Amino acid sequence: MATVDIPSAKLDEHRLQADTVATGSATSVGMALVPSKRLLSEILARELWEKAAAHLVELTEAEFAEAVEAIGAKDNFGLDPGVEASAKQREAYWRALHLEELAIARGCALGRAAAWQRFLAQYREPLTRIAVEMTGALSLGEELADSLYSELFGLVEREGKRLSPLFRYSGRGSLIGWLRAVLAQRRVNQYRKTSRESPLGDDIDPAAPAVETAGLEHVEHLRRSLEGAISTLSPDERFLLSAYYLDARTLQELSGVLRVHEATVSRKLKRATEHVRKELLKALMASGLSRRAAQETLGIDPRDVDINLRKLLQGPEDGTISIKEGRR
Amino acid sequence: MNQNFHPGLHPDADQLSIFVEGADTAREREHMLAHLAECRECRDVVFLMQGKPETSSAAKEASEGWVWQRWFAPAVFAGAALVAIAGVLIYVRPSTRNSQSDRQVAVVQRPEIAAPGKPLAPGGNGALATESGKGSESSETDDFALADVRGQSAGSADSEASNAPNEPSSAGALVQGTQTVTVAGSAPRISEAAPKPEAQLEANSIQQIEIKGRNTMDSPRPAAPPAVQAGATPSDSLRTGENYAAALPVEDQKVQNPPLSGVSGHVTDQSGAIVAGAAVVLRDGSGSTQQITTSTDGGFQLTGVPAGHYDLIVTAPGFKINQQSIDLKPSGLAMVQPVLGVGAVTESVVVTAQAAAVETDSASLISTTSLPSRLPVTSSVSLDKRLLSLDDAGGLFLSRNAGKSWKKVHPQWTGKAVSIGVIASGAVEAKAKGEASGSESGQDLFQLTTDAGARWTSKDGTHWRPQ
Repeated sequence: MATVDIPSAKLDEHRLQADTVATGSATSVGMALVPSKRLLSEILARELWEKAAAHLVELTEAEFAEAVEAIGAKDNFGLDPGVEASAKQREAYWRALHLEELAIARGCALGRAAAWQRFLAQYREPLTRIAVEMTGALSLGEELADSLYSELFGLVEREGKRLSPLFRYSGRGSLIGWLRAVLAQRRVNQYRKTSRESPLGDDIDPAAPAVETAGLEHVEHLRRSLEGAISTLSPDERFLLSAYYLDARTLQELSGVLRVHEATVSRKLKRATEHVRKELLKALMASGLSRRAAQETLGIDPRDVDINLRKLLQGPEDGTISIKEGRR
Repeated sequence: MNQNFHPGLHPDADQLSIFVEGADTAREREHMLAHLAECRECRDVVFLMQGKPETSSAAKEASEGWVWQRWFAPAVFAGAALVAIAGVLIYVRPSTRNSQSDRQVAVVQRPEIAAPGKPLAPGGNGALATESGKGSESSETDDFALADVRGQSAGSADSEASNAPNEPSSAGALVQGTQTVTVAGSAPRISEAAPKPEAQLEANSIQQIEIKGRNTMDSPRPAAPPAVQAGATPSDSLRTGENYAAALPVEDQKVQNPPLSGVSGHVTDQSGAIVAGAAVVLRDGSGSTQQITTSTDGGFQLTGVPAGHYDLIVTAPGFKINQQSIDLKPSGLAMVQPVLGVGAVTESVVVTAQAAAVETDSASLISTTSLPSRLPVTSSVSLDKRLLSLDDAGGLFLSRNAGKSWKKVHPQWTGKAVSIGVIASGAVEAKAKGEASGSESGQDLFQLTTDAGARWTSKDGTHWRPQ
């Protein structure tokens, strides 16, 4: 697998480019996404502006209206692509945004002093606390939080405009949740950078080539069957298998992400593994093996299955996830 | 979001936070999960975003939601059953209460205290009182382990049924006690003045301080017992008024103050009607006392007292004294329901139609309870548990359940009964024998006078003999 080392800053820049295209509110590129026809009525725009208390962060009505319109256009108001949103759907979408937090974020991104004061008053302490919690150390956490502050402040400029990551906050989630995500991304980047220097790879088991070259009769057949079985799983089942078996996440962690009970996670895991096993058995039998031989093939060596599963779940090696490869 | 899921791109922070917070659409969620299944990096970010507290709380919320959905229906039925049982007890209890079975011993268990910051389990006894003064009944069901005082009366075996109407059926500590009879002398009639001076109540409410480090919220109505809020913030404690202005945060209170106890309850009469203005005295072994007057809803609460053995003495004009022994354990709030027996001899009560409270400001007894004859009540007298009423037509009716049901007394006398009363039998015998009255004390008797002037007496109200 290609492991091109791309510095974290460069990766972030890459991300920024993609997201700026998506958000499209602060740059000339993004402005193209704003529909030519104003979808937001003046009355509703004023109402949203007042609800967001945007005047407290020195945002004009026009600026705020432009922001919410761009966000709605980007997401197509939560509808599938190609579906045109009705006026009612658009209004419901806009009203569901975290307007006040969006105003703060947008005000900060535009460099308004009042917005920064509000931001620091509300988020400085929780941001540092989250960073310390993520890093597990006070000094590391404070360093992480401080580095994010400078970035959020928009020191980077392009074509004479500030580029603050806060432009990318859409207001659909909470601002503290967004900040948490940004911190987590930076923390993972940081960790990846340092862990790359460690001798142990965390993705591919070194024993895999040995197994593949072991010359077992049915391993290759098993691999193909496994590919077919995995492909029939739903996305959440694949996510569960990856997180549970590859990342060794606990049921509690999984239940937190999926917002279901641990028992539900356990049932889903069991159902997914049973499904894979059945599909495998079916595929092996379809290839001419008797039921007993197929079962024996399944039980050749559990580690073989695990290795194949790891590869399958972790993604193909054809470079479709190019950035991920670069970050390894 | 979909625009960012082109091959080679990762979801940005906005999309990740939307996913983690559950604000995404089904399509976005599916795309995100498909990406997460393949991208360990983004999985790491997502799990790192959870954080320890958020993970546990999210799991807890998920757990609660799951349990709620799963047990919603049975819980509703169980709650309905409890309400029904409580209703039956409310109905049955007053009739089984004996006026003499008022000595109760309460043993209070230590309440469960939630750790600071840790939410209490919903639906249990740990439910927080969000606002005091909403109702005395609800406020008393809050943080404390409530002692269900069960009495065993010498005169009434069934008085060990559950408690008074206001007690929560889900009380924490269920304690059984023994009741012995201690009935003091009767009191005469009641003055017309309001039985509850406001100043006195407020002074008493000052004693309601923190129990086991919890801030006590003052009641908006002085009459209502204060609710206690666990884990109240310092700002909450400041809201409790100047009496509690010096209230410290929970942790500080825990350290500085020894755990104190309290006693709370409602005073009722035999019919279950609340008795306002009753004096409640808590006397310890050394003889020192604390006193409070029951509020308009009959409730009282004495808190901030050291643990130990106490005598709780309840007195009210027109009622017999109720005395009971209470063992207060540290940090416990004993729930008692003193039932006052009707005073003997000449006392009388007026029961309003709503039976909301006993009106004690009238010397004559006029019951609005309708007699079987549907005629107005001329007079009524009570002796022990029996209530005797005379209607306009001279019909005599006897009730053994404080007026709930009546039985007509067949006249064994000639003429029409014009008045009834209660006298001491010693006086009758003395009169009959020509001796000085008061030389011997005997049992009280009902007495009626006919229009011919003949006097008849009866011990039970049913069997009469000429005097």
